[in-house]
Amino acid sequence: MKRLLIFSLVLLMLFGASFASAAEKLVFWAYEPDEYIQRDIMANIIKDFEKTFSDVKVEIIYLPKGDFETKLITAMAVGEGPDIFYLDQPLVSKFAADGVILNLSSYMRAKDFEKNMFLSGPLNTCEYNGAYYGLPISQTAVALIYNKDLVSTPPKTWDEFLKIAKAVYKEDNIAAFGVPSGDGWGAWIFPAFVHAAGGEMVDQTGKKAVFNSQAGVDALELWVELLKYSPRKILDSANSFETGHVAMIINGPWMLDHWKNNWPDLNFGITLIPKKTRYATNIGGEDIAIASYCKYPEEAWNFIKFVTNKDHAADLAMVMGSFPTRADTAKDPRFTSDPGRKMFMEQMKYSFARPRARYWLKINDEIISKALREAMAGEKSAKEALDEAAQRANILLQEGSK
Amino acid sequence: MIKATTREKIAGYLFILPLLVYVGVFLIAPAVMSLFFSMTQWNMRTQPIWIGIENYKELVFNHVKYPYFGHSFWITIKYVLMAVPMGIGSGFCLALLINSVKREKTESFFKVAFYLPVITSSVAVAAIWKWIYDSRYGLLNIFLTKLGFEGQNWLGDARTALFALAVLAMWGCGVTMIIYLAGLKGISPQFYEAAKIDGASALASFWYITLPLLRPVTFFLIVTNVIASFQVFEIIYVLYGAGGGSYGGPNNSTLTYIMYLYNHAFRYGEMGLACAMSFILFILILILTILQFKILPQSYD
Repeated sequence: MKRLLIFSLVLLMLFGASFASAAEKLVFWAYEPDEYIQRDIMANIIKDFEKTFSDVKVEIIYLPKGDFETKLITAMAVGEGPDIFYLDQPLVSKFAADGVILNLSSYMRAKDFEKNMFLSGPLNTCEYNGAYYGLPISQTAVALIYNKDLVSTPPKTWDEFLKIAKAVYKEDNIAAFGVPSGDGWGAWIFPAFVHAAGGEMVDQTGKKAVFNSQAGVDALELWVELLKYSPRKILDSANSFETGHVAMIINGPWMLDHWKNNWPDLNFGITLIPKKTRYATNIGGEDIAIASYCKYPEEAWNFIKFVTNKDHAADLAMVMGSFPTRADTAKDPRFTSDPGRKMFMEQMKYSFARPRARYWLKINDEIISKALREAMAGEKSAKEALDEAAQRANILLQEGSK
Repeated sequence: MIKATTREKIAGYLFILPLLVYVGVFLIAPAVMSLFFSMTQWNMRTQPIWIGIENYKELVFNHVKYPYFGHSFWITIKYVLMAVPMGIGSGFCLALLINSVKREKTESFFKVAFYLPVITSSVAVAAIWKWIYDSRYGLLNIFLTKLGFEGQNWLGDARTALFALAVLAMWGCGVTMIIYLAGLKGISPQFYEAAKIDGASALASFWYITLPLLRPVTFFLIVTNVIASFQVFEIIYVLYGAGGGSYGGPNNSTLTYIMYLYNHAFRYGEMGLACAMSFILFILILILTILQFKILPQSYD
């Protein structure tokens, strides 16, 4: 018995030793791609890297996007986290503040690093207290998607939007617009409409909510009005847009491949989100960062530099179903020749970043969503609901900035 | 002689050692740790900061920062009140039906058939029920319209969503069924024979023999089902959570306690507070269970 124990212990140690002596290995966590072809592209990027840097091995681990953050912080809390990982834009400043990701400023000052090539919007999401903690790898935006069989000319302004909504609506059969629900997702979409009416979510200091301005009220009243021609019963049904029961929705470029592969007959068009005073959309996207406990920071930097260089940035954006963040890849034919992707690129020119407040997610989920819900359920007027929400948001904004 | 008993004792402990280790490592240790973390401010990325009972105070009194704490409690209690009776009732009925089957093969077929949902992945279960409940094409709505009722937006309407979830949970009553079945098989046929001789009707023997003799089983099932229902999470997370982006269902009508706890732990980066929430729930379930032990009849006498 004892001998067996010792034997297995020795065996275990041998195994451990053999792992440690292998080539320098970087563990890289990425979102699980939607399509198989995206996996192949990623595999090729890594193969290219390992060919160029032959003494480094990269082990990629895919995780579902919805669970990514949960798994990441749990793994990091117990010291089992990855060396390199995707990071949702608003998380970078939080992770940087906690000191768990590497400050990359010194690497980025190197002469051969083409910092100017990165678009400033996405690059700024990597900044915290004047230093850089990541590189942008993708950006994305939502736009208005319409069913061409139901809507021949898409709306450009809110007036046209309402007019088309009234015309296309058929009771029990066709909903005009996928009005977002009063939940986390709806609260995320809402700012696009506030900006489109010329408003902002928070003021310059970031400590005061201003989404209860006239622009905010107009945006919410538009939703309330649109909801009259968009019964939830139709909207909540599975694949209601794909089966032609919803005329217009707000969605992102990640749906393009899905529709192409699964709904080849769907005749859809993409256009800018209608404006009241200006075009607007929400920006979103991912950065790539290195953990501060990474044993091979030099190699990890080489890796993230490699995947964001001129030759690979566009590939990586393809893997993520979104758009590259480098000026010199913007003309890549994969993004410009496809009319759908081209339209999203156009929409991205009018993007507004979400506020960077500490409690913003909570304000989004629990405060703004509630206002949307109350107004859409007719319990309160848009003005009342938003005023109350702004008041509560202010308390959290002030507490978060302490 | 003494030596032999000591050896037996050691053997006994050795037999339960794996389970002891399991309980210690995966249940007791995390519980003690979460009590510690509940007194800290912790986002899982940095070192926890000791803040005493601040988390508990904030949860109960700060309605701006934690507006849905009480709400999520209420939702959970409503859910328990619906899910537990429905789950136990349906499990009991199924057990009675299966117990009345005479052919052994038929019996095991139904046992397996009704137990199957328990071992099905909840993601698959959610996908199936999404279709059943669909507001336009759903099986349930088509059935209702055939009967002349109006179809409902089951999962999308705040008035029906929680009830729909409780019904969905009923689908997994296979465990209850198996335990009841074991209880039914344990009742000696002599009781029924004696009652028959005395001229008792089938209903009377059900009322005066079956039900009282199943009391310990029912008690056990109520206690365990209440605990499980208080902790309902998985199916709601799959239906409304990460993928759905709504984190609480329509009008937050399915924002159960554990869902709210999860949001704080992993979405808002307040793990310390989430631990405090879990401790509050622990204390509450403990009190509730003690009450059940005091109030509910546990045996037949």
